[in-house]
Formats: sequence, C-alpha cells, structure tokens
Amino acid sequence: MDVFSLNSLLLKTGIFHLTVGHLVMWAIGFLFIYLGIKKDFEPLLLVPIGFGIFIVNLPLTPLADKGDLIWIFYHYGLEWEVIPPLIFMGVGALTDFGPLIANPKTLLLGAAAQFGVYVTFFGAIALGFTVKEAASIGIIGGADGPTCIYLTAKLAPRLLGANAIAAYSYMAMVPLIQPPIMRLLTSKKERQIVMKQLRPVSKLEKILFPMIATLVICLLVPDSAPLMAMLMLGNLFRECGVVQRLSHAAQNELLNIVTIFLGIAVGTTMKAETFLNPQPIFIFILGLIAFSFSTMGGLLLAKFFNLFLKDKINPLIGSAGVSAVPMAARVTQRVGQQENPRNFLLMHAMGPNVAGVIGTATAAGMFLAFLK
Amino acid sequence: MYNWDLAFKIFIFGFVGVFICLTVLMFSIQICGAILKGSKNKKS
Repeated sequence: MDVFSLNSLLLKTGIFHLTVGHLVMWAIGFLFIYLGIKKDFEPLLLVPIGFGIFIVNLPLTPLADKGDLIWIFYHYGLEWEVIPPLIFMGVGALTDFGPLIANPKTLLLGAAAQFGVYVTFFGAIALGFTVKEAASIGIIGGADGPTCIYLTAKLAPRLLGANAIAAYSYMAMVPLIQPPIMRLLTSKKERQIVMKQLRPVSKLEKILFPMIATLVICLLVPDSAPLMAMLMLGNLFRECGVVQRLSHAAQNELLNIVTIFLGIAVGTTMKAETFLNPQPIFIFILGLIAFSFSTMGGLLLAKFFNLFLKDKINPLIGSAGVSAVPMAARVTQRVGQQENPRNFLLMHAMGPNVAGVIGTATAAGMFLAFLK
Repeated sequence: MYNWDLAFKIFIFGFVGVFICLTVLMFSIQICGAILKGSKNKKS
C-alpha cells in the first residue's frame, strides 16, 4: 500500500476528525450513563440517552444523518409523533385514576400546577427564545417527559435534546426540588392536616372515566388528542378487565421497546455542533424555574381551597400536581409523614398527580392550537 | 423585538383554557358519578 492510499485511509477514520466539542459531548454522555447506573436517576432513559450522545459524537459515523439508522428512529418515532403517544398508552395502562375519580376537584390542582409552564414561557421569551421555542421550554414545568418531547418535536426540534434532558433530570430530582418549596409555602399545622379517607370507586366508573376524559378534553382541545386518546386507551385496557394481554403488552413490552427508541433518538439529537452553546444552560435554568412555579401553583391553590372547604385538604397534595408520577405523590407522602407519622397522603396525592398528566397534555394541546 | 402580544394571549387563553378544560372534566365526572349513584339507588 503506497503512502497516498494510506493517508486517505487514515483520513477516513474518525480519529483525525475529532474535535474538543466531541470530547466534551462524550463526557456529557458518560455523565448521564454514570448518573443512570450509579445514582439511579431515571436509568431507563439516561442510559440510552447517554449512549446516544456518545455515538452521535463519533466523527464520520453513519448513524444520525438523513437515512441513517438512528435518524430513522428519530424521524419515524419522534417527527412522526409515534413514540410519545405510545408511551402515554403505556402510562395509561399503568395508572389508576381511582383517586382522581373519588375526588374530582383534585383536577383543579393539576391545572394550577401548569402555572410554571406559563411563567417560564414568558421567561424564555424574555431571554430571546422564539415563541415556539419558549412554549417547548415552558412545558418542562409540567414534569412530563413524553409531553415535553412531543411538543418540542413539533415546535422546536432544535431544542429536543436539551429539553428532554432537562425534563427528565427535573423529574428525577423531584425529591430534592419540591420539599423546600413545600415547607416554605405551608405552615406546620397545614402539613399536619389529616384528610378524610377517599370513597371506593366502582369498576363501572373506572371504565367510563377514560371515555369521558377523552370526549371532554379532545372536544375542547383537539390538538391534545394524540396524547390524551392514547393515555385513555391504555387506561381502558387496564380497567375493562377483558384485554389483560393488551394491557400487559402496553405496560411492559411496548413501553420498554419505545423507551429504547426514545432514549437513543433523543440522545442523538445532541451533536457537539448544535448542543455546545449557552442555550442549553438557559433551558436548564428555565426548567428549574418552571418546575418550582408549578409546585407553587398547586400548593397555593390547595391553600386557597381551604379558605372555603369544610373538610380541609392538606395543601401538600397540591405540589403533586406536577406530572412526575408517582414520584411527586411519594414526596408528598414523605413530607406529610415527617410532620405527622400517622398521616397517609399517598392516595390523596395520586389524584392531583394523575391530573397533572392530563393538565400538561392539555397545556401542550393549547400551545399547539396557537402555534403550530 | 419580542412578540409580547401573542405571548400574552397564549398565557391568558392557555392557562385559563387548561382550567376550563379540567373544570369541565371535573363536573363531567361528578355528574356521571351522581347518575350512576342514582340508578344504583333506584335499582335497590
């Protein structure tokens, strides 16, 4: 082999095309893999996302350009809006809406917890993001990964990697972010409120709920239909009791498969040349603001309710209005039990928690109605 | 420079819209629950 052909062969390897940016992205990818494996931070997503970041920043690899393997996952999975609704189907099949049906006013706490979405929407515009980008950043406050990805893929695909990472990071950090806000906005006496036990919910009510919720939300906000319809279809599978195989598949095999494609596809949107700029840092800061204001929104509305209600509600359950299911409800339970070890708030908090999922999907539909 | 007018409209209509949607859903669940309870009482 002569020198000329050896040179050209060497130039076809990735080694001579490596940049500092690639190395930085490898470090970020490895950090995510480390956080997933070692710290158990959303490992189902951070591990494939981290690996996706790593491989997309290997120079000259035919993976993420048009027509390449992972581009196909991204194009057909995210751009064609297939993966987030399928994840919602799995979430629906996993979710018991019983606490919400037993105490429907918790839906309003889920709505109030969208406050952070809109506050951050303004903040993002002030920082120079376009209106569409601001909407996709604001929705991080809903703490609902699939909805955030769905909206960002439609409105600001350029920000997909940063938004998805921010959304899932904050979902993983619910136990760190929420308790100080919960303690700041409530008194010890309020945190000790013991709520009346929820009434039992009949099977018929649980079967009717997905149809009523689909009818109401999709009629009022048609743009939320891909998420809402799939969420409720999954829940109907769960509650009707005659399609256990489908319910099982939606909760397990399907959810696991689409999670793999989602993680890889999101990771590969984070190329050094597009990701390494100040914007992801702004997005992380705005995401934290969004998440904090969402927590406050739910808490404050719960306190407001207590001005009028005979049977007081523990305002801590308002903080579970962010969608991170069931982590936010567990945090409510934990903070409540720190004040009163005999107080069991978990089931009460599940109402606003699942209402938050519906609220965030509705907020995403609203943004799409205005901006798509 | 910024499209504040559009942003403000989205804030008002969007946030209020989410509340309206979930309030309608809340009343729908309550009405449905009341009908089911009524029909159950009638049967018994």
